[in-house]
Amino acid sequence: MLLTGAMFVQFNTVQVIEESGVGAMRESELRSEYSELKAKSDEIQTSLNEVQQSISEYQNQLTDNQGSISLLREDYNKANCDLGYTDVKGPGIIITISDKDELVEYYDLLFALNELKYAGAEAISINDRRVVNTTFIANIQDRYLVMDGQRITSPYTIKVIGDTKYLESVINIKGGLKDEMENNGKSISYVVEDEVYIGKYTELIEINYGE
Amino acid sequence: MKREIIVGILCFLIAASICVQYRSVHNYTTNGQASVQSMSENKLRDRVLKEQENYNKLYAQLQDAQAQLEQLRKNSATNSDEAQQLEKQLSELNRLLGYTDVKGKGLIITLKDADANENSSSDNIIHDLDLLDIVNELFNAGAEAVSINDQRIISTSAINCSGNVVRINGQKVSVPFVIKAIGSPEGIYGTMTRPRGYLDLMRSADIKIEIQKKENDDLVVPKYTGTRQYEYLQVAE
Repeated sequence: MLLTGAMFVQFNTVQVIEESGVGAMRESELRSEYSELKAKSDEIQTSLNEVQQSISEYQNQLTDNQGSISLLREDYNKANCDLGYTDVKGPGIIITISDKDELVEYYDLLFALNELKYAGAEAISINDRRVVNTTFIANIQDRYLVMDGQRITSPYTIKVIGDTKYLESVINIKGGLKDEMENNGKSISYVVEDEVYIGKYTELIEINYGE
Repeated sequence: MKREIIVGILCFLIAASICVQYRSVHNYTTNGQASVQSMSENKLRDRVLKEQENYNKLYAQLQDAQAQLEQLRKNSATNSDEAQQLEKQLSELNRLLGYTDVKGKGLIITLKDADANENSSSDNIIHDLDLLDIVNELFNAGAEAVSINDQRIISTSAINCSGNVVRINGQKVSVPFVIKAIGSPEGIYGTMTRPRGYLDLMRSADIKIEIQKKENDDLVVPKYTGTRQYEYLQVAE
């Protein structure tokens, strides 16, 4: 009875492991999986603390009209900032990518943006145009680039706010941004700054086709 | 005598089930190649599973807390016109930010890797950069909200690849990739299916592509489920 019980438990464990995909992982994968999960949990924990803090603030101000208004205004300002509607500043780097033997293509900038986001960029602009949720970059008739419908030209100055250590590492890592640009005939350089200013997005963001 | 037979049968059953169990464990760990499952791997696996559980628990708590906060904001706004106005504007910003589900017209693109054959190359499977290009083209085509396998694309979303796993917003996604876009179905369809467009390129590499127009306001692009905190950024006065 004990034996069959133990076996049943073990069967179940095997199934859980298999469903999560953890079963087939090797040691190095398990390690990186663990550290990624841990980082995500920590992030969520921080957010949870913030939300709970807000909840108690709102609860305390529920009958106080002025208090409610100032809380709402604070949240409104944060949302405005998230959307890209405010000027922002902070430590970061300024990258310059330019045409050399080859022209910089839309996918070079797309690649750069993606790498910087992966490195935890908190705000980005290209040639002083702020990157927002719906930002796109395109080639027009193989002659020039547009970002969010506006023409941009080389040199492309990318301003980024975030952890400069991570931001630098996605540039310098083997196969990273620097290799990718230089191996394809484009030039790239960057400077680290204590304070980078990034201007706000100046156009309207809309969702008209959905509620 | 009867007792001995029963004990015998029991022993046989136990032996048989141990054997079956050994085989099933063996099958999934080796995955076609010989490997020794070390103790440290088992311990690590355990820690990963526990952390996964912890993550799921925290995530559910966060969802509940966010819903509670939203309700509280609405309640606190009933006191005055000014508060009501602010609450409305805040909700609208949150909608634009991707912090709410969006339901409306649009398009669904489903992508699957080409069938494997002796000529298969890496062009015949879908990569992180392919998805990046398609998202870029969708916004160029006028999409207002986009998700891939329920990961909402916002301004900080990275699409990257570690090993053979694609991650969006840090979350694993895998084929088939179901890409949903809110916007004008005709407009987006026209841009996405044009000759020399990115989908055209992928089709010539035998990637399987299905496009479905949704005209009936019932397409749901889910909200961003990640978190967004600033460690370095400040509003500049």
